[in-house]
Amino acid sequence: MSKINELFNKEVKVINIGLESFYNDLKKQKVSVTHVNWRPAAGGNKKLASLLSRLK
Amino acid sequence: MNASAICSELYKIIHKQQLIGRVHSVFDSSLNILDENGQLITFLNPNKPMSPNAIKVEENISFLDLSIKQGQELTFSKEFAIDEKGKRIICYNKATLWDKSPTLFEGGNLFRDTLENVSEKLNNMGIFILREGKKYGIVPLLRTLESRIEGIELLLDEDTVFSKKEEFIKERFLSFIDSYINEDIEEISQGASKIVGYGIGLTPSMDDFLSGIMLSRIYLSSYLHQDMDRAYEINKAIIKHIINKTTLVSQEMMTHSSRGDVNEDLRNLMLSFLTDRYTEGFNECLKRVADFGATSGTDMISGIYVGSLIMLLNIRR
Amino acid sequence: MSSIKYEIRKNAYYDSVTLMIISKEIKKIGGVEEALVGMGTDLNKELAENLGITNTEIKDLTPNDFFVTALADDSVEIETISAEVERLLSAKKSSSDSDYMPPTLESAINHDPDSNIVVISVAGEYAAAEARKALNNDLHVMLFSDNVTADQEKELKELACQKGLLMMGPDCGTAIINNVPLAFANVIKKGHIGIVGASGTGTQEVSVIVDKLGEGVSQVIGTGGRDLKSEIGGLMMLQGIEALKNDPQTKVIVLVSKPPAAEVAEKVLKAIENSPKPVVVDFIGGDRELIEKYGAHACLSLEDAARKAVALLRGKEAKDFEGFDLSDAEIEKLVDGEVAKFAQGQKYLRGFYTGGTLTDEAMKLLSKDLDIYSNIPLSSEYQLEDVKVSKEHTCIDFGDDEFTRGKPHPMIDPVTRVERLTKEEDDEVAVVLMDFVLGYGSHEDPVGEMLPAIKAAKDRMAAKGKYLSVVGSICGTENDPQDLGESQRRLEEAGVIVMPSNAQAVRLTGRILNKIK
Repeated sequence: MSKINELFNKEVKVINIGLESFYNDLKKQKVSVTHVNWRPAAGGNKKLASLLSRLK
Repeated sequence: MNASAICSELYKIIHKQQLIGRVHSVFDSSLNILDENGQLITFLNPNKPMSPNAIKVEENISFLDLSIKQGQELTFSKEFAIDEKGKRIICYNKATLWDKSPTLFEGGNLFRDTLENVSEKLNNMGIFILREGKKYGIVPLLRTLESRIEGIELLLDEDTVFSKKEEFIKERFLSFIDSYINEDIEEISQGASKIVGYGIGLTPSMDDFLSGIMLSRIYLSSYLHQDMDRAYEINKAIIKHIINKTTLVSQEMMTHSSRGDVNEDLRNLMLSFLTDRYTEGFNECLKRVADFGATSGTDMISGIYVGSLIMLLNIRR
Repeated sequence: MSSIKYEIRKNAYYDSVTLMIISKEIKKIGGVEEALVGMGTDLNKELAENLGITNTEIKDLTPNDFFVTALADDSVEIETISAEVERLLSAKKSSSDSDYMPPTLESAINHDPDSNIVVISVAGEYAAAEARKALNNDLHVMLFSDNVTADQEKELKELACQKGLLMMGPDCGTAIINNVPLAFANVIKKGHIGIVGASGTGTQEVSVIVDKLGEGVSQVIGTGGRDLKSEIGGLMMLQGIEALKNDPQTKVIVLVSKPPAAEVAEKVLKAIENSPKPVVVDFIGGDRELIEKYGAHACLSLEDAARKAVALLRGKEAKDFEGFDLSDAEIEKLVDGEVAKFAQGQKYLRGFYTGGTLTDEAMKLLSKDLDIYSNIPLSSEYQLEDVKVSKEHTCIDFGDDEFTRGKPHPMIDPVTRVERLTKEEDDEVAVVLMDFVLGYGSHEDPVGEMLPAIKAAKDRMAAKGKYLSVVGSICGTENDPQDLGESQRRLEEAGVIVMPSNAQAVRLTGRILNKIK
C-alpha cells in the first residue's frame, strides 16, 4: 500500500510551521498538532543576507 | 542545559577571557546575569527570539524552576558556564553563532522595496497599532503628536484614555520630539534624559518607544542612502544621559538599540518593512513583536512608526 | 479621608505582564482613587509626586526597585494592597498555559514521532528547505507558502513521488485529509467523493456544494496552483489520482483546476482513462471534447462538477446543470424586480471577490455577453491600467498580489474589499457581485465585516436616485465555525440576493444585466 493510502487509514497528526492561526484552528477541532515556534536560521545577518540575495 | 544559539560578540568575549557574573534577575522564560563589565548576559528559553548578548537554551524549561537564584555567581569559560560549586549550568560549544548587528543595505545583498510600498506598509503599521496595539503604554501619548507630524491623525482613537499620567509628561515629550525632528544634538540629549524611565514595566514604555525610534533611525538611514555616521550620532545623543535614570535592563536594551542591535523578531520586522521579499510576513512580524511583554511590543512599534514617519517626511521637505 | 498606601520591593524584578496585572488589579480595589506601579526611575518617582502619592521612602528608591503606591480612602487597609501584590507576584507562571512549541522541525519530530503531516506557511525561501526536511523524514507535506520557485517545486515533488508521499503545494491553500480541514477548508460531511484540486476556492466551492446536496468527501488533496503547468507536469495531481483510485472509501473522483498546459491535460486524462470509478473533470472552461474523449465527465461550472459527482455516486445520470434551484418563474420575478429599480444609465458590473478561482469562474461564465476588465483578466487587452480604479464591467480578485502586499489575504481580513466598495463612486454601476467564503482559515465573520460597506453603498446610490443591486453566494456549510444561517439571514436583511452557488449568483447577475439592455 502506498504511504498516501496508509495515511488515509491513520489518525492525522500535524506539525505546523508558520501561521499560528492554522495551529489554533486545528487545536479547536481537537486534532493532534504541534506548533513549531519557527524563526529563520539563527546564523545572523551574513547568512540572512545571502539567503535574501538568492531570492532575487 | 545546552545552548542552541549564542550571540557571536559574547562568544568572542568569553573566548578572549573568562567572565564572571552574578545572577541579576530570574523570570519564566529568561534569566539575566550582570557580568564584571556591567553588562547583562541573558539566558533565553526557546520561545523567545534570539537577542544581543544572549544565550538561547535548547530545553523548553522555565528558569524559575531551576535552582539558580538572584545573587548567585556564575563563571563563563570557553565551552560552558559553572556555578560556585563547579556544577555545569550551561554548555555552549555546539551552539550556532548569532550575529546581533543590523542587516543594512550597504554591501548590496539586500534589495530595497519601493518608496510607495514602504509608505503603504507604514500606513498599515499605524492601522495595526490602532486596532491591535496594547493601549496602556505609550499609545495614549501619541495623540499629542498631531500638531507635529503629518499623517498621524489616524492614531487618534476615541477609546484611548488620556489621563493625568499623559498630561504630566506631555510637554517634555513634545519638546523631545521637536528636538528630534530638528536633529538638534544637544537638545536631544537633554530632552531624552527628561523622559526616559517613564511608564510601567521593567523596560518602561518611554524607553521602548525610544528604542523603536532609534531602530528606525538606523534602518531608514540605510534605506534612504543617508549618512550612517549621523544616524549613530543622533542615537548616541538620545542615550547620552540615561545612566541611572532607568532600570539596568532598559539601559542595556537602549544601548543595544542605539546601534541597531535588536532581537531577531525586531530585525525581521524591519526587513519585512523595507525589503520586498518578506511581504507576506509583514503582518505576522508585527504580531510577533506586539506580543513582547505587556506593552513593550506595541510601544516599540509606536517608536518605529513615529521615527519612520519623521524620516520619510523629512525627505519630502 | 484618603491616605497613601504603598509597597516596596528593593532590587526586585518582575516581568512586565505581571506588573501590568498588578496595576490593573490595584486600581480595581474599591476605594482606590489613584495608583501607580512601576520601577523607581526618576520619572516614575516624579510622576508619583505629581499625582500626590509619594513619600520619603519612595523618593529614595533606585530604578532597580519595584514599587506600588496608591491613594485610597481609609476604608482600604494597607494589608489589602500588600496581600493583593503578594498574591499576584507569587502566582506561579506555569508554562502549561503555553503548550510546548519546539523551535525546529527536528525537535518537533522528536517530540511527536507519530506525526504524519507537516503544514508549512513560512516565507518562500525558507519554506522549500523545511518541506525538503519533512519529506526526508518521511512526512507528508502541505505547503501553503508561495514564492517558491518552479525548480524547487519540481525537485520537491519528484522527491515526494519517489518516496510515495504527498507534496501538496507550494501555493496550496486547501486540503481535507481524513476529514480534517487543513489551512483554508470547510467542514464537509464524511463521504465517498474524492477531490484533487489545483485551486483553493475552486476546491472549497465543489466540496461545499457536495455537502449541501447531502453527500460527503473521502479525501480532498490539494496540489498547489502551479502543478498543472508544463514545468511541473501535473506530478501531484497524478499522485492524488493514483491514491484515490486505490482508496476504498473513494467512489467518485473529481479533478479541479484552471485549464492545464495541453500535454499535461493529456497526461492527467490518460491516468483516469480506464478508471472503474467515475471521474468528473472541471478544467474551468477547459476543452470539453478532450475530457469526454477519455471517458470523464466535463463540467460547466464548479457547481456542475459537484452535482455530477453526486449524481454519479447515486448511480444516476450526470446531466449538465446550467440553471437555478429556484423555478423559472421565481427567477423571472427576481430579475424583473431588480431591473425595475435601476435608474437610466445604470448598466455596469462590479465583481468583488476574495477567492481567485471564483473570480475566474464568474468571468468565464459571463464572457460571452460581457467584456470584463480585471486584475486577472481572461485576455490581456482587458487588464485594468490601475487595479485600484474600476472601468466599465470590472471583476477584481482581492487575493491577488497587488492587494495583499503587507496586508492579510482578504479571506482572513476583507479590509481591502471593504475599502474598495466604500470608494466606488461610479453611478453607472448596476450590480455588485460578491463571494463570502466561510470555513477554517477564514475570518470569523466575513459577512459581518462587509455589511456596513454594503449598506453604505446602497444608501449612497439611493441618495442619488439610483439602485444598487447586490448579489452574492456563501461558500460554507452548516458545520463551519462561522454561522451559515445567520450569515445568510443578515445578508438578505441588508437586501443582498443570496444564491446557492457562485455559478447561480453569476448566472442571475448575467440575466439582470442582459435585461437592462
